[in-house]
Amino acid sequence: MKKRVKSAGRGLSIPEPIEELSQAECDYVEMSMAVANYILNFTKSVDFKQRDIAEKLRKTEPEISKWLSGFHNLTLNSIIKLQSASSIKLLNPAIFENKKVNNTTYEFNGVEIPETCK
Amino acid sequence: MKVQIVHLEDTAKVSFYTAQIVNHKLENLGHDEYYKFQTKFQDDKDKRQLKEIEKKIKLIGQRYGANEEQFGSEGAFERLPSSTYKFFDSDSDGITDYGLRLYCIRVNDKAVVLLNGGRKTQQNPRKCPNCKIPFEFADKLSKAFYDAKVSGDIEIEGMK
Repeated sequence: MKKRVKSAGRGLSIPEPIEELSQAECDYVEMSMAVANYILNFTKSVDFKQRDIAEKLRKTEPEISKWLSGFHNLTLNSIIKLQSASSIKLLNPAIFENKKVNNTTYEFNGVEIPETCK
Repeated sequence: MKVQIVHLEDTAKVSFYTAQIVNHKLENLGHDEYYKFQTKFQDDKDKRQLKEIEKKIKLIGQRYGANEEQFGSEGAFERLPSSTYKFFDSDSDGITDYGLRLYCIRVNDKAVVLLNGGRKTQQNPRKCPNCKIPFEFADKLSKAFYDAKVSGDIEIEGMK
């Protein structure tokens, strides 16, 4: 006779948790998973041709595969090369453009910077 | 030794379970395996990496699902984090310190059994003093689990 699984009597968290992650640690985990998920969906899309990307960048397919699996460790240089050889888009220079808010501050990616610090 | 699979929590995309060692009367012997993992660390570095793994589990449950790319493969069972993940502030040298490992059984995209683990300090987990016992436990349990599933002795809601 099949039996139903009993409950552990608790959820995923322990009753007396230790200190939480810092904001930076939290953001790091979220960003790395988001990027990895984006890359995964890209590699499963019809536009993805690992062989074409490898040819354009003069690398082997295993090298490209390794790049993509460790994407969060790549340099800016490598990310730009990958963007140029495929339809993947991760960095857009437009998000880094200064936008003047008023006479004394600039807005940089949503953060106001005083004129004197620019 | 008897082991029961017990239910932890249902999240938006994944149901989480763990393992509980019981006696012949099916009474609990100590805490469940995942609780043991969550409460075993005293070192600050271990605690920080534990928190990162817990955060990843939360995101797997709420946002991404338990697709196989989220996990590292250990043959018949899995581990968190995957081999491509680097811990924040990681100083793992890949020779004497490989970071924290949580062993688990990824049943499918919607069901995961969280077990125990430790800080991996040897390339072969069977030779690592921290991971050897949880690794071998996960190995034995995963084989017994799949045998029971195939023979129809085990049926868990949410698991195919």
